[in-house]
Amino acid sequence: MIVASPLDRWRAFACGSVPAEVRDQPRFAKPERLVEHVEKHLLKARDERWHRVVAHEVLSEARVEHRTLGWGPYCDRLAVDYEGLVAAILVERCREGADHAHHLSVRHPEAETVTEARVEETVYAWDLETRILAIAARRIRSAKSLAAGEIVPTPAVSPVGGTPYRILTGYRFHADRTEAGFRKEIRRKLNDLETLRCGRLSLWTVTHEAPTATISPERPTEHSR
Amino acid sequence: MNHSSSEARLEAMRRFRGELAELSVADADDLVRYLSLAARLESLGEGEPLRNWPKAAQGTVNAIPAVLGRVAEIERELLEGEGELLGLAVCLVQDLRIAIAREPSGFLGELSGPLERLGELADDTPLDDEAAEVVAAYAELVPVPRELRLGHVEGPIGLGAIAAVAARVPDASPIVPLRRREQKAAVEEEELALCAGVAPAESLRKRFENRHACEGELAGGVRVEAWARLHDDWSMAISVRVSGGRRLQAISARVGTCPADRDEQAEGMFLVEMAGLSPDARSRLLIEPIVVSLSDGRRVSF
Repeated sequence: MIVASPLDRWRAFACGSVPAEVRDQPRFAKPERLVEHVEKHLLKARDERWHRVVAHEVLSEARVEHRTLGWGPYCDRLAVDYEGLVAAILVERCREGADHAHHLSVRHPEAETVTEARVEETVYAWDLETRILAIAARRIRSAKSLAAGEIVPTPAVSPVGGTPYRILTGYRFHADRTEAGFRKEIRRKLNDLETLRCGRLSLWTVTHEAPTATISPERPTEHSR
Repeated sequence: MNHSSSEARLEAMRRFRGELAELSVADADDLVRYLSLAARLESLGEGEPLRNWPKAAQGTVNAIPAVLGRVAEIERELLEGEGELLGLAVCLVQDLRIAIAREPSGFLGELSGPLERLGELADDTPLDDEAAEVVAAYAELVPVPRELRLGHVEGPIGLGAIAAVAARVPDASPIVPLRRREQKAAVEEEELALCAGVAPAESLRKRFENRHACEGELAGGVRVEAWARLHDDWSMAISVRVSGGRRLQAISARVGTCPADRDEQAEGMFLVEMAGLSPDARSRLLIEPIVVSLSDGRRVSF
């Protein structure tokens, strides 16, 4: 089958693919990224909202250490705890089939060649107890056949080829929201992202809110649009 | 606007309308969401939802405290968020700016000050590539009136793009530090010596305290008095007294980029411990401006 436009090629590429759950413990792509996140969210944060989520003692010691001596062993321990916490949310929500969403989209669709652009699957998992929204993404390699304009239908299994999930962030919202309020806030953020992407190259979105999945109009098992 | 983006706008309008139709305003989050969606529709040529906001919120939510209550959280999302979450926070600030400027009742006029400052903070926040992508998508979908546009919405550029451009500048060369004049160096050495003792020297303490005893009046009759003192154990105590505003208080303070610890026992008191710092770090902190954030989103520096 020959498909003319790059857009159609991408959609055909996504056709038949299904969401890949986060199974193995994901990590930040680079240690520097983890350090940046820990400094921004936990060490330099102005309020005390992390105290009930990570060990109080480790957080306090790490803050003192960071302020006086710079990055050190306590900060290291805090980073390991933070990464583990975010990873556990992603893995657990995917295992339970609840409170998470998958999104498949094309990044850099304006790229001149198909191989420069890439398909990315992003997972958003939220934890009602800690009020953390964890986000991870994996890059899906474009098939060589796409560049040639030929489509090899991808099997309806996951993954369709790609890198392991990498953590992008773990953001803690205010704990004073009710469980329902937090869920509502997350849903609104995901809605916004979906709407904003509708002008761009969004391939599909699948939301798992227990007990069954809600699939966006662009079903992963069909050609979108 | 090409055909596909006009299609995307129609689709976006359909989604905004759909969500508004299902939204019943029961709390602050709902009201902020209502205003956000109504502002987007207003920009897209549908002004009715924004005109009707007082009716939608009637009897359930007191608008001014509700939005003010969210301002601090949005500020935090701007300062600490990244990627798509940061992008969404910038979009929300833009929505609220439109809502307050364009809603005809004038009931939200009181919020224009805090929102203006939130807009400044949003524009001062560097966007990473993912955040810039979200803001770019928003700018493509929502035709924000030029006079209300945030800088980031006018031209969303991520750090990656900035770095790429900088790398291509043919004459790009590293910044060359200029040598200090001798006299300046001598003063600095003297300053360093004053910062090296077990306790701050009396002359240093006096100069610091004179420089940091300030007062001022903000819009709405809010009066702020602020002062900072150096203690013998090299801790810096910052005191802020706010009067004239409805339950306004100082919620955080920082010295330069160093956050101060809030004293839970005393309102408006903050502390920065400098005992463990080197004389050099102390001397640098002592000349940094102190910035205090108030609970309505306004910030003062002294």
